[in-house]
Amino acid sequence: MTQPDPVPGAPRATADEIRRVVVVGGGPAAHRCVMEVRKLGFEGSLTMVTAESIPPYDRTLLSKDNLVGDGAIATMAPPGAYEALDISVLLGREAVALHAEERKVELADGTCLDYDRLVLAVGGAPVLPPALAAPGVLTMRVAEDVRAVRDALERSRHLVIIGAGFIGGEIAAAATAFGCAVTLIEACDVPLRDALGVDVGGLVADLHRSKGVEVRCGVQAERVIADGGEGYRVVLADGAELRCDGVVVGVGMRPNTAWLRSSGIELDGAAIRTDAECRTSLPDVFAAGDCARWWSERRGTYCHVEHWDAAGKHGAAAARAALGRPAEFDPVPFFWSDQYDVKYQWAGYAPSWDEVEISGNGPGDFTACYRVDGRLRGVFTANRPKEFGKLRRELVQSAA
Amino acid sequence: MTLRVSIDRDLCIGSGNCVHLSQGAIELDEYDVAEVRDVGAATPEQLRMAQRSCPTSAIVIDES
Repeated sequence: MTQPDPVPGAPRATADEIRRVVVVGGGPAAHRCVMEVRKLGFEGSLTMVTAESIPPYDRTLLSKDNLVGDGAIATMAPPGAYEALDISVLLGREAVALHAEERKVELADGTCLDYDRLVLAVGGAPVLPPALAAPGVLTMRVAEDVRAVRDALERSRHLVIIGAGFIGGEIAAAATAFGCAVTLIEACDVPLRDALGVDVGGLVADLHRSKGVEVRCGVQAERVIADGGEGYRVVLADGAELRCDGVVVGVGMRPNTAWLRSSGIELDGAAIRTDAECRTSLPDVFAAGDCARWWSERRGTYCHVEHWDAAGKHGAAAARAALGRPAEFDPVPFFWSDQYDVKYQWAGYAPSWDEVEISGNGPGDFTACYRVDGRLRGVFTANRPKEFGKLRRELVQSAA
Repeated sequence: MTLRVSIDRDLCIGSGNCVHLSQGAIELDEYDVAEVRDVGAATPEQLRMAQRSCPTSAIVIDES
């Protein structure tokens, strides 16, 4: 028996009976969400719809194994797993509008998905400022980007990377493995200054330099000009011009929420604002992952991270929220980055700090503890996995 | 070929990538630390992929 259509224009009350759950997105949050929905016993219609052309995969490997190794894209679900759980996966289908009163998501091909509960796990897209967007300038976020970036690493004698964050850093490391000369451009005075502070950022820069990467900090890349098929000129704010064969831009990402503006959903900048249990401003619509900005009771503020680990947990929390279960989401943030022979690891939530204590033996082997009022709030290590594990557990315990 | 798989509990942060990639061979225990439950439940390729995906390199595979 089908549910009768509502009177057009009249908002429906919250559906007591959940028959259809729709998840928009194709990353770790979307994957974990649909898996958790089934794990919680929901047997109704469950659809994951993504603009990506392949099912959810380990995005963190794109700038690691997938570049320097010959590792295949690591799909999150083994073959047949979604079918076995009766999860409908729609690939290459972009969501273009949310009609909240009618409880429909409209796709680019004109079809609509009706929902009783909707989870938005749409992630984001790399920022590419127009002045830098010459033809062939590369970014890295999705599986399709790997081939072009790897080609650039293989054929470039000189590669310029704009942005010395984790994407830029990992690609710089991969490029040296291909024998490329690399110039890494960073607008701040050290890489990762806002996230890690001046001293640790300095160590990150030192590691790059020790591997032969030219690091230019404190200068913005103003323009990239394609040089008639013979490479590029990158113009810096200090007037310098760099000639190179390839350019990769890693200066951050922007949540994929432009399509939601007409829905009236409350946005915080470009991110979707939610309460502590993934609820957006629209009834029965939830958000999780890189696209979201959620209320944290513990911190008394809205939080936003772009971390693989948080996204998966967030998707699972959104599943619980969508099915009416307790779904508080307030993890201790964790991220990592593999560059050269160094594993960097971070745990904690420390948008600011009073002091950083660094101990160690140089850029490839150190521990940095970030404290507020004498209390440990964050830890960042290089090649110290056991110590990291211990300090991270301390942070988790003190957060509980 | 059955691989020998072990988890370094000091390194594991409970991200759970392995749980999804290993199709039941690895699960998180009540402390959110990964443990090998049934190594035969996953193919060697799935276990190697789980090892590559582990953010803390906590999965040790003995292929000898």
